[in-house]
Amino acid sequence: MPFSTYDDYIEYIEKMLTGEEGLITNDPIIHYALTSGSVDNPKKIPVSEDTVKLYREYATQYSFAVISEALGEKWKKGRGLNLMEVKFETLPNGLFAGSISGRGVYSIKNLLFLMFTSPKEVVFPTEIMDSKYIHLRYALIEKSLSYIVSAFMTGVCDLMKYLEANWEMIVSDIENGTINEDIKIPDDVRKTLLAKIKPDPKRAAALRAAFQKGFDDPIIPRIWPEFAFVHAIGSGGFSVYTDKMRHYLGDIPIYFSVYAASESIMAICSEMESQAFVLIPDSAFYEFIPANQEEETNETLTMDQLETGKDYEIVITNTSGFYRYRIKDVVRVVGWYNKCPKIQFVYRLNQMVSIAGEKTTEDCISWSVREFVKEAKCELVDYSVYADIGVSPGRYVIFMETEKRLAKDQHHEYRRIIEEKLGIANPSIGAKVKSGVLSPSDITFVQEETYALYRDLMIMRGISGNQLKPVRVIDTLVKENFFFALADKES
Amino acid sequence: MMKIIPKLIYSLNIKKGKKKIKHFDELTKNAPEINKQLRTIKKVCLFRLMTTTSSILKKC
Repeated sequence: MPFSTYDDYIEYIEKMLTGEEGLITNDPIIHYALTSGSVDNPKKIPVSEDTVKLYREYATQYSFAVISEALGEKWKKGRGLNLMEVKFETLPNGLFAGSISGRGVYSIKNLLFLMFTSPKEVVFPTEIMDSKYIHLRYALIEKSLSYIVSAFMTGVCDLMKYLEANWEMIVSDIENGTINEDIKIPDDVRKTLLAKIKPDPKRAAALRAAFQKGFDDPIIPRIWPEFAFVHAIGSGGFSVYTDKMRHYLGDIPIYFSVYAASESIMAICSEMESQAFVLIPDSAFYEFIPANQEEETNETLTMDQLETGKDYEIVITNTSGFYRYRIKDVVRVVGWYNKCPKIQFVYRLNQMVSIAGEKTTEDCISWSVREFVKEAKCELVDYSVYADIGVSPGRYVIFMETEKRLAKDQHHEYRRIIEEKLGIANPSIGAKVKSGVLSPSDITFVQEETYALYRDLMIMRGISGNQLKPVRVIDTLVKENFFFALADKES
Repeated sequence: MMKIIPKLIYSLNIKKGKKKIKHFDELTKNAPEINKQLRTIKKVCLFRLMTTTSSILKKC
């Protein structure tokens, strides 16, 4: 059996969408997961009942038990703030298509409002609206808020930034029992929400007092004294957002959730704060291809043949009908849990940048940017890489948003630093620049809020917030037009 | 009442989750064997797949 990719299944999936069954698996398919992979043509991944069960058992039950054992009485088990929304489309076969995390939320729809603070109008949105406002408006009323759960840390971080910028408006609304007129909400939703909202001047006064002291000290424990943890994917490419969240959280711990894709839940954190994920042995059959292997081969390793510290491309046979499926992720073995490897995501093969065969991974870019930030003494918001082949020879351009604008007259120095760091992270870049195969790398700073604006724009185009991953590679015309348009001419 | 219900729901999930932790711990002690069993099971499905599909077979 050769390896497979999504393209091998498209023909069958198209038939399955019209109601044919038993094509790639006899297990009943109950959902189609829309992936975030491509804006124009998202994949529809079949999801069987078994896969949903595995998600429920591990991502909910197992993870909450791990958190409960770690926190004990510190977690008072009050309601939480859930940022995962359910945005489904109905397919010709009558099943739903939407994010896999949304499916999890949908499966507990009757319990949702006992467990979480947000109203159904924002959890099951029918139109685009200012969801950050609504989530916060309801969570802030709840003094005993226990935790925040989100698919990705970007969602939690965006929410806190929104709070920092808009707390006066939200507090005023809580005080008066209103929803500010500038908030974009469909009229019928506004009417429904307003009918259930009561003025809460006491809570508003307490919140105002906390916000007026500023955001320099961690704000979350000051506004929600029982707040116990954040549950979100926040390692690897999300770490810049996790670092930012620490500022809001103080000592409050993070549970880094799972390593998963629409195709399978593959690994889980067995400890609070750990960023290493234990492979789930009964979720999928795993095979591994050494990441540095030059030749294409059909041979693979099994989990007992892996070595600590080495990188492998992961190949799965899942419980929904995909066989020897290359999800294009490379993981690193960082330790062992009994006889099971603990892994960390390193990079996506299709997010690798290569202008002249130098194969630069997300990991290389991430390291270079972190080193740049240390040397340039600035605070990072987010970053991406662009392979500029509009110049000859081609070059790397790092797009970066920083908390404060950097001095324009230092631009040549910033170019030097990023050039040096990229050359260290991937010596092939350094060698190719020296030999003239690549032009020297460049750095472009973008305007304040560029990355948050991009996410808002994607949400307005109908992408679920649950699926928005950081933009690490500017590899589409949409991204190119957006980020170039927001280049900061003053820095 | 509103505070008791979330506690009950979480407690129920945590109770199931604690059993899952024990089960997971046992699974990981024999992880390579258990994982290989999944391959054997899938071979049954694979046979069906290979007899009913064509595009993947073309690559063989």
